[in-house]
Amino acid sequence: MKNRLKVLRAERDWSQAELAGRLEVSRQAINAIETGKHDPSLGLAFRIGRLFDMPVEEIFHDEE
Amino acid sequence: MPFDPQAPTEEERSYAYTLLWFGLAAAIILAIGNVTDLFGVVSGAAAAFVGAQICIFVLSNRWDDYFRAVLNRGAQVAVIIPALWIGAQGFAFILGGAYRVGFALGSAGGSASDRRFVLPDWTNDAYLLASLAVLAFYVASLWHHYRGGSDA
Repeated sequence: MKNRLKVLRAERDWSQAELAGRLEVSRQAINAIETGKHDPSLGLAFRIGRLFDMPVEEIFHDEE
Repeated sequence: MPFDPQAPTEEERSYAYTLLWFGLAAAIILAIGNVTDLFGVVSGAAAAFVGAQICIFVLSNRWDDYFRAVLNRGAQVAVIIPALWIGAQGFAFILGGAYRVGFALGSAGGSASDRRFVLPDWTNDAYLLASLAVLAFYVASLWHHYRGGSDA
């Protein structure tokens, strides 16, 4: 699954650690999501959506 | 998201990945100590450490979902070790049983137990099996974290 997390984070000038702190996850989790190594749970995906004030489907989309 | 004053900080969550390396070191000491009698009491301390750490890793609900995915991969691989182990025991048991039946039907001389296939004694060592499963848990967890692909 692809996502725009890195772009959205860069637009706000946040570090991975800063974003991780806001989402209450580890920096490694943010890195794994940004690099496509890990697909977040539904709960985390909604938290990300709320943090960026965007619908989940505008942040995450499948690769088809 | 409700405020939780006990919630771990980002640094504390990141430190969990470092703890995996400590666990791997302890699991290696445990596995080597099992087959070589090296390390002595250190091996016992390593066993206590990995036992407690894995219980905390698996039972605590304070990890984020990526760390849980890392632990899940470790657990999946760790379970394969006893599965292969018990499978080999079962295979040996079936072979032994089949041999006894064949031996009885053939009514050959001598004792069937003299020649039937038996696994070596170390295959009944539960402590060795547990230490290998624990080692597999840490290797697979760290492999998934550093080299793993998408969970999709």
